[in-house]
Amino acid sequence: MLSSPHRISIARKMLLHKKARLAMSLSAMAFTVVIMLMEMGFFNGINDSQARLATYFNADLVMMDMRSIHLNKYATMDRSRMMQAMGFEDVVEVVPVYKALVGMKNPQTGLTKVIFVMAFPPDSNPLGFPNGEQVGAALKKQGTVVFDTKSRRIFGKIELGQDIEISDRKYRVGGFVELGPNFSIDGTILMSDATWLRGRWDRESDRIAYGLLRTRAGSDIPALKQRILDRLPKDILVLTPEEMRRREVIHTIKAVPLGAIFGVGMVIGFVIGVIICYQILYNEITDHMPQYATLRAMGFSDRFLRKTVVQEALWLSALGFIPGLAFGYLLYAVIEYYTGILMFLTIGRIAVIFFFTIVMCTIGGLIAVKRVTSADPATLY
Amino acid sequence: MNPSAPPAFVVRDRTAEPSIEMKGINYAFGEGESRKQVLFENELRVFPGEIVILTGPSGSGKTTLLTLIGALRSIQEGSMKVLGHDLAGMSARGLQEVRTNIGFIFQAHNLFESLTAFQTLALAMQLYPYSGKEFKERPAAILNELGLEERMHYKPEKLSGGQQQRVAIGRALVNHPKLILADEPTAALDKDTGRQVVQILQKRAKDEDCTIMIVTHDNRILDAADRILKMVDGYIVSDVVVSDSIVIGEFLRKSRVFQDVSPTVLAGAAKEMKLVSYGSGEFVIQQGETGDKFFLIRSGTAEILKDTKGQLRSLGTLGAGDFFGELALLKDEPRAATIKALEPLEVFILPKAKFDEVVHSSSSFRDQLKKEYFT
Repeated sequence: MLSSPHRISIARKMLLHKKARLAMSLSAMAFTVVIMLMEMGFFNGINDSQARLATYFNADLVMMDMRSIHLNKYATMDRSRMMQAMGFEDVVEVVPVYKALVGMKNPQTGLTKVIFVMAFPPDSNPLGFPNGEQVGAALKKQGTVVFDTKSRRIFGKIELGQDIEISDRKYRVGGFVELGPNFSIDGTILMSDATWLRGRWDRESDRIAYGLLRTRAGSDIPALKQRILDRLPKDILVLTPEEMRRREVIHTIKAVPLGAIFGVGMVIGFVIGVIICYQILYNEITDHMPQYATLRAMGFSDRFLRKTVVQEALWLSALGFIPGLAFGYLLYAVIEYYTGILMFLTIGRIAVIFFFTIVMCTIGGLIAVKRVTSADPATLY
Repeated sequence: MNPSAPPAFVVRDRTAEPSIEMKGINYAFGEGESRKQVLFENELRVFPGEIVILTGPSGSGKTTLLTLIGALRSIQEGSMKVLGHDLAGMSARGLQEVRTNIGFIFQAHNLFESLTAFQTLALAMQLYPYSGKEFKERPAAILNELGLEERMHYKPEKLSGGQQQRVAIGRALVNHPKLILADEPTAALDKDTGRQVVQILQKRAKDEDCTIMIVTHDNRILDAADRILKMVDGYIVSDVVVSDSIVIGEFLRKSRVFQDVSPTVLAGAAKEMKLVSYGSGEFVIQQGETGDKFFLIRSGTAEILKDTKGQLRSLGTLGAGDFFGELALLKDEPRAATIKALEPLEVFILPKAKFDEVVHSSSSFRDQLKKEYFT
C-alpha cells in the first residue's frame, strides 16, 4: 500500500462516524487519563509539598545537626557551630533559623491547633520571600508574628493587626506570607529571633534548626562545603538547598508509604485504561465484522487490518487525552485549593502521561486485533 | 440465426488458458463423525470472457464451490487453478494475494457506513499502486456508469438499497478484475438499473475477457449468460453452454428418432446434457457394457468398432452433430459396438433416466421408435 495522500483512513472515519458513541469512548478514555493524572498528582504533590521548604532557602549552603533526617523531623544544634563557619573566608554571612511546633488558638473557635514556628533575624529573609522587606519590617516589632496565608483553615480567619494566642502568650499579626502546608504541618507562623528567644517554649529554644551560610560571589561552593565538613566536628551536615530538596524527596519515597500507594494506583489506572481501550475497540470491530470480512475477501492483508485497528487505538488515545487533561487540570486546582498539597503539571509530566496513554491504547488495540483477523470472508456468501 | 443454414456448434478457441480449471474437487465440512461432504468430484473449465450462471437448490453446494474458486477457502481435495494460480496447498497469504485479482459481489453489500460511495471505491483501489490522478478519476467514472453521479459523495445511510448495491458492485469492478464472482447482484435493483448492471458485466466480459460467475435466479442475467451450470447435492449435474443447447436441439431434431418430441422436452433434455472431453484414442463406450448414457458429439471425430467373432472391424466414423448410444438404452441391451475417439473429442452426455423421459414423452415418438428399431 502506498503512503499516498489518497489513502482513505478508515480508522479515523470509523471512530468519528457515530457521534454519541465517540463521546462515550472519549469519556471513557478521558476517565483513565484523569485517574493517572490524579495518581501522579498525589505522588508528586506529596514529594513536592514535603520538599517545598528546602526550595525556599535563600542561601548557598545550609548547616544542620547531622541527626536531622528530614525537614519535619530534625534535631537542633548549637549556635556556636554556625558561628564557626564565619571563620571560613568565603562565608560572608550566617543566619540562624529556629524551628518548633507550638500550639496556636483559633481565634474564632478557641481550639488550639499545632502550628509550625520559624524564627530568624528580621532582615535576613532566609526563605527568600518576595515581600521579604515588609516581613522584615513587621517582625522587627517585638511580639509581632507573620502568618502563612496558605496554612490550613483550621487556624481560623486571621486578620492583620489581630491578636492571637500562641502557647498561652499573645502575639500581634503584623503581616502575611505564602508558604503552604504539607502532610505533617498544617500551617506556619514566622517571628523574629528576638521574639522567639523571649518566649517560654518546651524546647531548648536557644538551639537552632538551621544555620544558613551565604558566600561571597564566585565562590566554589562544593569546595567550601568540603572544607567546612573536613574542619568542623562531625556532628553537622552541610548541604546546598537543592541537595536538601533531593534528600527530602528520596526520604518521602522510601519512608512514607503514601508514595508507593499512589505509584501502585497509577499502575492500576494504566491497566484499567488498557481494558477500557480494548473493550471499545473490540465492540467497534464486532460491529464491523462483515465489513472487515469483506476487506479480507477483497484481498486486504491481515497486516492492513491490524494497522487499521492500531490506528484507531492511537486516535482514541490522542482524542481522549485532551478532555482528560483539561478535566485533570481542573481537579488539580481544586485539590490544591482545598488540601494545600502542591498539585501542578509541567510539560514533562504531561508528556509522561500522554506517553502512558498512547502505550495503554496501543496495547489495548493489539489485543483487540485478534478479533479482526478472525473475520472469515468465506462466510460472506 | 439463419434457419436455412445447417446447425453448427460454435467453434471455441480451446488454446486459451482457462481462467478457472478444476478437477476432482471434493469438499467436506466438519471432522470425524460430524463430517459432511458437500462437493463431489466437481470438474469444470471456464474460459476468459464467459458469463457463467450457477444454479441449483439451496444446499446444492454452489456457494461452497464459489468460495473455493474465489480462494476464500482452502482446497481440501482435487486441483483448482484460477487465473493461472494453483490454489491447492496454497497458504492463507497466497490465497489472499490471489483474491486481489478477483471482484466479489456479495448479497449483503457490507459497506462501511462512514465512507461515501466514492471513498468506498477509492479504498478498494488501495490494493494497487495507482497514480493520484486515477484515485481521483476512476471511482467517479465507474459510479457514473452505474448511474450514481448524483450520489457519489453520499454515505450509505443516505442511499437506497438499490444504490448501496450498486456501490458494492462498483467496488468489485473498480480494479478491473479478470474474474468476478457474484451472488444475486441484481436482487435489489429495479428493471432499468438491473439491465444497466447486466450490460456493464457483459461489456467487461466482452471487452476485457473478464470471466463472470454468478449465482442468481434473475431472468435478465439468464439471458446474458453463455453457460448455465446446475448443481444438485454437491454434484455438477449439468453444464450447458446456452448457445450449445439450442444447437443440440437442432441436431437431435434432424433425426427421425427425435423428430416428434416436443420442443420443450427436447430443450429440457439439451439442458441436462453434460459436456465431457475424451483424448485421442480413448474409448467412449465399449462393446458389451451396460448402456447408461446417450451421446452427441460436439467436436472431433470418433470411430465405430465392432468385434465380430474376435475380429475388430471399423464400421465408420462419427463427427460433430452425430449421436450414438441410444440403441442400448432403448432396448436395454449391452452396447453393440465400441466407440473410440480418433482425435480430441467433445461429447454431450445424457444419462439414461433423462433419456427415458424424452422417449416416453411422446407416444408417437415411441411408436416411431418401435417402427425404427423393432421391425
